[in-house]
Amino acid sequence: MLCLAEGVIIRSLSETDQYYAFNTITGDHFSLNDTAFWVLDTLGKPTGLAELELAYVETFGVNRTMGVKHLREVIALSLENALIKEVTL
Amino acid sequence: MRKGPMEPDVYEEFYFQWHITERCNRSCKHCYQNGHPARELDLKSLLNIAAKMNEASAMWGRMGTVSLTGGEPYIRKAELYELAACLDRFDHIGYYDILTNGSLIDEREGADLAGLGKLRRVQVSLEGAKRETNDDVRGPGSFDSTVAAIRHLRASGIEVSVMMTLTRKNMNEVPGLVELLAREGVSALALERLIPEGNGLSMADQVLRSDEIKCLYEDVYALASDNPPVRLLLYRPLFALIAPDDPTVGALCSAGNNALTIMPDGTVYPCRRLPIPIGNVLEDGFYKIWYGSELLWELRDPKNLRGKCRDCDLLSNCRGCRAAAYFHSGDYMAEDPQCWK
Repeated sequence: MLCLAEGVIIRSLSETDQYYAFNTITGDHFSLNDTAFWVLDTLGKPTGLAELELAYVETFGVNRTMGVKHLREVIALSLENALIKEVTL
Repeated sequence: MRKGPMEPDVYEEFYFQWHITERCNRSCKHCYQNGHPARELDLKSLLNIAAKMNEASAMWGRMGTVSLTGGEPYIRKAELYELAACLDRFDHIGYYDILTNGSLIDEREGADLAGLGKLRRVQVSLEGAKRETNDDVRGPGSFDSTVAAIRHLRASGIEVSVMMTLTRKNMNEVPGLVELLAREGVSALALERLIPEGNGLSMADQVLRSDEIKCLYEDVYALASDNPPVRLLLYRPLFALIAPDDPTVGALCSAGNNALTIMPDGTVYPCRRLPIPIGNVLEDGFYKIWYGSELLWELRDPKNLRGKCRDCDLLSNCRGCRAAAYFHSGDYMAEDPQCWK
């Protein structure tokens, strides 16, 4: 399962139609595209990878192979930047 | 996903207004304090906060700027100088100002201040060009004491600015004050609107009406356009209405955008004039407060504005004063009560 790391909050700014992730512990901040925002928003509650892949493909109406590839890139970057973490329930 | 400043190139500075004490040797009628003593932090905690300011400024890619104030900051003189020396050593603090009533500044103080590396200027306050106008608000002897402080500071080569809080009683004294300050070698004059909070509640009848503010701001802009020897600081909400196309005039309220106020016990406000606690820097840190405060997010989004501020065509350089709205209506997102548009 994956979920947002401790202290990470995400925001959608309606004024600029931009998305951000903030680490309230380290101060790191990231601008997000809409798909990365969707991923992190979904991971507000722990979610399994298979379930996430399915929801991603369905939400964005993309080819499954391409969708899964892109999703995994977002997950890898998010893990690398400590925005999300793996958990065992 | 891109790591980097939230709004690159928009705000180069991040401003911390830091009240290291609420104690004061004056009791000005218009003060936003209410005279109640507040818990103060020891030097170790103050230095810890200074380090957090430096770290946050670095993280946000902005130049940290600090106003050290009170209360009267010279009541904690030893801590004030320790903090100044500490800020001098930090790479990401660009400069700091000291905001004081000047009553405890003598000749020797001016010399000591001259040794501080990143001190930009000292700000004192005068409420008018006339002694009686000033002393009526700030107390007997305060006019002479402040002018003496200005002279001590200038004699030591310290840059001095003056703040004047605009009321019905002093609104006609701006030109006279500019003349006085020019003679005294003061470099800048900031004009602030009276917010009726704390002691200032007793002066609520002195808050200028929108038509009075309009006339005054027009006169001040004309005065500023005449290149006086004292720079008039016009980067305040509502000034943009006077000259919408002049980039030196008007500014967004800094609350939620590029500033935080820290109180003597570490409590953080969006602005000293909007005294709603949004955390404590020692317990929460700046990041949790800056990123996590719902109040700050509300302030940042102009779609939350109400009244005539909401659909104003000057939203890019004026969103009104949120503190004025708060103390007028209880709603900090309400329209600015002094706007004449």
